Amino acid sequence: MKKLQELLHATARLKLFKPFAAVFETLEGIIFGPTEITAGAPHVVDNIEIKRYMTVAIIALLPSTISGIVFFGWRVLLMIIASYVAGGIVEVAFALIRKREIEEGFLVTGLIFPLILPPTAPIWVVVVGSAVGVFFGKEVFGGTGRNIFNPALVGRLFVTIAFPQIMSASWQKPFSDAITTATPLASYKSAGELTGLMDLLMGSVAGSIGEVFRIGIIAGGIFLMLTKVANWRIPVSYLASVALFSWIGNLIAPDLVAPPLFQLLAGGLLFGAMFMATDPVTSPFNHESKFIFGGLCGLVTVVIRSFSGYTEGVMFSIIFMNALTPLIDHFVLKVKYRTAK
Amino acid sequence: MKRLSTFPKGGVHPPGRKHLAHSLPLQNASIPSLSIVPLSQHIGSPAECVVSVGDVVREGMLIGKPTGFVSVGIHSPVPGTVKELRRIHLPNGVQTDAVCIELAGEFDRLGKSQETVEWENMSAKELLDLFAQMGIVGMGGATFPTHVKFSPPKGSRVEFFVINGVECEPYLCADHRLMLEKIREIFEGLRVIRKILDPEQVLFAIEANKPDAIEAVMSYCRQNVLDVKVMPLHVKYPQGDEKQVLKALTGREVPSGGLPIDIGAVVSNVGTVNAIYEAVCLKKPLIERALTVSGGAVKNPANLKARIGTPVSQLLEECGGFSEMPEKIVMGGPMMGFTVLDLDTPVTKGTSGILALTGAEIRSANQTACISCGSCISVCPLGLNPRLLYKLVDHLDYGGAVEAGLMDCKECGCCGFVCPAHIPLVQGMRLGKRIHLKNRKKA
Repeated sequence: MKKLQELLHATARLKLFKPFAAVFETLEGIIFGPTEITAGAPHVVDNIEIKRYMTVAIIALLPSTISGIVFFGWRVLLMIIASYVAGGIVEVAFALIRKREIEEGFLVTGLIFPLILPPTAPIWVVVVGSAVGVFFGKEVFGGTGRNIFNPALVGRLFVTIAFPQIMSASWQKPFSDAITTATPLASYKSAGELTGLMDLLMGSVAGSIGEVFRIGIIAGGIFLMLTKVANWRIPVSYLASVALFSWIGNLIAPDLVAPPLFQLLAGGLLFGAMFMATDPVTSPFNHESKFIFGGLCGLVTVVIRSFSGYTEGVMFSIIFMNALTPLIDHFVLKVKYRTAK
Repeated sequence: MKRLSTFPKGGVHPPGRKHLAHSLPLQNASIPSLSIVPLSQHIGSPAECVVSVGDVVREGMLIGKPTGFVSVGIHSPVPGTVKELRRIHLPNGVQTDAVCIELAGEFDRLGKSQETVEWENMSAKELLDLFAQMGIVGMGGATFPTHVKFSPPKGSRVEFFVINGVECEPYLCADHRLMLEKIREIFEGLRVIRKILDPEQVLFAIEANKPDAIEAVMSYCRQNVLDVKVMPLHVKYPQGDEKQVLKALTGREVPSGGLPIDIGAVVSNVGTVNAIYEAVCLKKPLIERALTVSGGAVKNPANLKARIGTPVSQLLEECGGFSEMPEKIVMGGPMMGFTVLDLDTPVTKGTSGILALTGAEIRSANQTACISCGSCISVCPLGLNPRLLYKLVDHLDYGGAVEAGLMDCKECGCCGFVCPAHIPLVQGMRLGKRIHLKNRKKA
């Protein structure tokens, strides 16, 4: 082990590899562990670190990923690889320019991004979206931990607006090559048609790659919450608020607002609430503000789904609330410390 | 089974690792040939040196006399001659003069049977003065002079007196051993305390990971029909802290910036109670203390009664040295202790343990960016927002940090323990507090 580390050091010192110092540092961190020891207390620390955080998130995403590949074919795997490569190049380029270690947050972003695309999306769209997401969603703000918006959603938003035809017109049905224009939410909007709840749960309806197999999403989400990598407050308040507002809306205007159970299971809501709204960086850090964040996400989702031209509002609601996150935290802190005094 | 009580907010569960030493009886550590006795071993003003180089001192002789109310005496742990006065750094950052005593001559106490002294007709005031003279301080690590703590402001009523045998820090077992081996002494010390404070109720707090100690204390109380309520507590760090243990026992919360006496309570560590017994009943000043030498890198962990002033290196040697190269050596517990940078650092009144930790135990990691996961907020036992405080201190906004509760921070280390990004949160708090106090002094 020691010898290997020395070898790595020696290689890193070569002139040829000078510009790639960041890559070597990261490699060393991954293979040999940390290089620094603090002198201060606490002298023992918990066995958790960012890499492990990200690993847990990826494990939680596995059911959705595997079901995506099973449902829509091997092309999905290709899309995931394309996303990793494109986002990875941007990430490494920034690490080299900044002379910093490569950050791990990208591992999750690179996997989530293809999962929220329609299965028919061309590879070049994946490449463009992933690169834009990592670049404008994260790196311009200073990298992991400093970004305001969820990078995967920034990528998705960009391709949705730039290539509307590709992104919303054609949806592949699982286990077949048949193309349909109607996701469950779209068919409700155009024809007031409700899809069966069992079909929604098992994923035999059209939708984005990762969002259709909802049992897997629920399992992954519960795993995330049990491991405390995702805070339960956000998904719970998000889903509860969607249920509440769609119930009220459905009572008042049944032809515009879909009933609560259908709303909870349709579209990208479960995926968004479990894996995207819970992104710790872009969601509030106070416990109280997490409830506010989730609640408002739910309200915005229902409003967009019911009253706008778009059929799905999860992406917009999370991005919108990401922008409000610092503000929510600011005011919650103000109220909290005023009462404490 | 009844659910054991604990404090409600925050807290962490670091690996206990007490099995390394908890079954080993207390042994006398060997006497150092050169004792280095710092004159500032307590909170408050340092003692004033009353010996000079070349003087012959006896065991337990006063070598530093208390200056002012918040100060206690320092005594020579060994008989011998004063070799030099040295300026040393203690691991907690205190710079102090230290008296170096070379061992020579005969012991007055060691190896001799000791008579108990009649103390019943001493008044509370006399007893408190005796504490100060005998150098009694809180032995849990804070080293706050006990006679100050036991002088509640006029008009306040002491409802609870709590004997703190929680010992929530991992590795440490010295208090555990004291409860098993010195139980008679502890309860004798309690009688002295009852005379001074006259509490309405006495509580004895022990964490549930010490079942033998709970059993021993309970059966002692039963046999002697003592009015003491033994309270086993659910294991959680930092329960040994005064505020947390009171919350767990009584459900009352010490107000921000307040003292336990504000809710009618006084808390003392078992080690302190034992020291009180020795001071009052045996007229023995605080010149030795129980401590645990442990950690993955120590060959034979042990619980020792070591003389104040014994160099760390000697105690480690006595425990068989290192079985592997330690990554760091810590004085005190792993959560709140201080790194030892010099192996000649002496044991002081507040040293509850000496730990030599391996790399696998400390699990250090490089610092990465904060991902605002909120773990630090969930575990802070005081309900502070460590992330925000750290950020404010980092941005030099000390005023803002104090407003957000910086001065309430006890530096218990829970936030630093859980932080997945390994941000030195505690160090930030410490720095911020120091700078704030300095600024306030200037103003």
